[in-house]
Amino acid sequence: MAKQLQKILYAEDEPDIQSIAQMTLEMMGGYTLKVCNNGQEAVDAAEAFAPDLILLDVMMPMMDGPQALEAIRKIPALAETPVIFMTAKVQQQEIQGYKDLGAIEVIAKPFDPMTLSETINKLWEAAINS
Amino acid sequence: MQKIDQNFLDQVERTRAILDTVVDGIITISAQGIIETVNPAALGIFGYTEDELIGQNVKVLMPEPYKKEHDGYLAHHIQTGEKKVIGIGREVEGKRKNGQVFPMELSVGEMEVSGVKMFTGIVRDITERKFVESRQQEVEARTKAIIETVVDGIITINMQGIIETVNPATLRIFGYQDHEMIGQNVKMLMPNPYHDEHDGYLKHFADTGERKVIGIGRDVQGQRKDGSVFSLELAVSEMSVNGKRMFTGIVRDVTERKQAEKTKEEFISTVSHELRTPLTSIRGSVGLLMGGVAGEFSDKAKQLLSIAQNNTERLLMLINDILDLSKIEAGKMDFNFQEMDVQALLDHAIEANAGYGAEKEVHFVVENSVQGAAVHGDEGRLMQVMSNLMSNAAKFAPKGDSVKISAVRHHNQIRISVTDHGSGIPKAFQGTIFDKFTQADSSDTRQVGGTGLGLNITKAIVEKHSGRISFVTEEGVGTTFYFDIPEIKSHTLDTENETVLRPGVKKILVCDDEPDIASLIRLMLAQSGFEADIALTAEEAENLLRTQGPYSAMTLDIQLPNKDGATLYKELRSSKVIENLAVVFVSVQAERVCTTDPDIKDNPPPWVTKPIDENNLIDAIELAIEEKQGQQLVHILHVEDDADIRQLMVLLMDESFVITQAGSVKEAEMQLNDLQGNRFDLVLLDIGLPDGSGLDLLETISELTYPPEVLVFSADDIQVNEISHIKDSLVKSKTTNDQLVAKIKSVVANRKGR
Repeated sequence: MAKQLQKILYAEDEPDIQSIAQMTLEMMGGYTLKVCNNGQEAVDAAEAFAPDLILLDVMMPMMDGPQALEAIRKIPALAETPVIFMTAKVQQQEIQGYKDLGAIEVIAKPFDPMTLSETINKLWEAAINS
Repeated sequence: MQKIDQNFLDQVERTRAILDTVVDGIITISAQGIIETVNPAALGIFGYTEDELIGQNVKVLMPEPYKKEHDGYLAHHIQTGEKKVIGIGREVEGKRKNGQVFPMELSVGEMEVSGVKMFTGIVRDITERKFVESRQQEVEARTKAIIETVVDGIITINMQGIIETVNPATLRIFGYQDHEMIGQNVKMLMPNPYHDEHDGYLKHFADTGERKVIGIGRDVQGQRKDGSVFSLELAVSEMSVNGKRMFTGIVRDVTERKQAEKTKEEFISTVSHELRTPLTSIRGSVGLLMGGVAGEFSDKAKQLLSIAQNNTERLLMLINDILDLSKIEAGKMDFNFQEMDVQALLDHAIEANAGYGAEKEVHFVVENSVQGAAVHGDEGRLMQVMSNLMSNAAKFAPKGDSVKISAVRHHNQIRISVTDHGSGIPKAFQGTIFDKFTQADSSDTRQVGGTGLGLNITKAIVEKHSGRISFVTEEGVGTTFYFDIPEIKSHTLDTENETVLRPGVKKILVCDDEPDIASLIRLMLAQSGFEADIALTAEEAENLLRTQGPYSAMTLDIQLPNKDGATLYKELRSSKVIENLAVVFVSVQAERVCTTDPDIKDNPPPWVTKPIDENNLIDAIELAIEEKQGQQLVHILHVEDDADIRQLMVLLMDESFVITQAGSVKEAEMQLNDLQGNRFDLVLLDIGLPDGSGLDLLETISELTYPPEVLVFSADDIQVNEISHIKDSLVKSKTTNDQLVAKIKSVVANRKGR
């Protein structure tokens, strides 16, 4: 049986958005989440949690998403783990910038809570199989 | 003695003639200043008669202070021999009889006649020259003042790039003193790469005359004396001063403007982000509630949630549109152009918007498409255009209706259109429909949603694709929005002379087992404004008829592999397909089949033999279509220089009209003289044409074997009864589309009844 998306490491500093995303990803997607309040927390928790996917906000205090991505990539076990940015900074050149950093995709805020889980799963499967 | 006298008299006569005709005034005075002779020019200059001047002191011709000083001058000169008065070209003032003082040039000569000292004064009135000079000085002073005070830097350089002049603004902008700039190469003001490339530019221009540098409003970089680099707008023009070619560069420091643009961009980006963040929470919460995450709600609660959700979506659209708009206005919208298949674009657009259509209870259907056509486009942006036009159409279409999407070739462009059968756009809003925040009715905003920015953005995107967007609308009938973007050349059929357009006539299916002949037939059809698809076998033809139709007509070869054309024809006839499909046999065996086949010979279709004569083919197709449609096609020659009005006609008239277009008197003459046995039923005539008056065509028209009716449709109100051959006239600004169509139909109907 093919590997399934189960564990998501999620970093987001805005508590409201955090709870909504957590609710939809846990209830709709049935995923196991480790929720972090900023990039630093995500980096600290990453190795022990061993996520299948990392979902990062871009603008966060302490350490932002791109910095977190850079730090996580230095952890050998997580060097290949797919990363998705979820951000409201979605101008075309910004999106391209995040992809150049190694993100598999950028999900624009506001996201649709009813389709978020499915979207993430598709992106993850495509990345795993490529 | 007698002889000498005669010579002497001749000489005197000649001298007198000279004195009488020269333009300069010549006056002789005695040593005491008494006028002895004056010539006519002098009289003219000063306004006296000869009698009034002879014997007077020359001082009468002088204003103060010359007048007072003159006696003294003369006395001084005679006593000392010092020449204060005598000389050439002094500018002094004279006084006319009427008291007017004027500038004159004075040369005084001294002579002795019979031992008596005399003076000759030659005077020239320089009033006019002075006037011109003073005007010139004024203009120069003004120009100089402008150049000195203008905020833009103005620099002239010679062909070698050496700075010849600079104005103070230039010095201020670049931080130099003028002596540091004049005589230097202008590239001192440029950072690299401009610095190194500039000599090459100038040389290239000197060698080839090709202007790489010259032009207006180029954004370049400048370098100040302190080495700092800044944004510069540069306009260069070429001029010739005393036969020497020079360049003038006008430079404007746009550092501040660029900074303001950047600040605005950052502001918009930040605002957009800051607005999106709370919206994410709202949209997420409402979405989850609507999705039943927190259990079921009462109908009332659902209704309220739905209101919240709709308005969240609207706010989001507005933020997206404002962001797009600010990017467009800053010229910062990115486009990723690549070759795109038109058919795929339409399919994708239908797929992406089907959901929205279902919500509004309308269907999107592709009515026409151009197979294999491609354009250079940014797929995401063109999808945005399609979604905008389709969602607009869906909003205004009646429930349960179809919104038609079509792509056709139109003068080497691909025209994509979206047609609804909604209420149409009210006249008052047609002019501003592409402006920002305009919607037909402010109440519409609430009724149909939308931001009022969509069409403005759509227009900008289309224009970025070298295209243009427009619409045709009729209140109560519907609206078609269409945009044209260039087709990629290699895919374009050779239809450059395409002037015939057939509104409403569908494609033609060409069935022939020889690919070359099939292509040839398609080319012939294209030149007469028909689009065609090709089938190489009877089976393929059946398949295309089923899947790609409807077709207006089919050309059918008889000899085909597996199933022959005659058999296919009979099958189509018995399956009733043929009721709406005109068939023309194109085959060497056509005559045999049409005259001998027992199932065909009683009611044969039109046929054309091979080798194919283009005119016969087109005639046969038209005849077949006319027969199918149970009516004669009306042939209109539309003489009109405005392409939009020509296009409007094509959209207005139904398939029973064949419209041939002419954009000038010359083109119309060509069409009228090249009828080859065909006829026009009506000439719709514009008067003001680029190469003359439409009325110039009336003679040619009246001399035709079957003179068409003439309906004038122009900006001017023509008195019809004053000009023969004209049936009627309509004034563009006063005629609605409906009136125009009705008038054309009635003119044509009357003609048929005749």
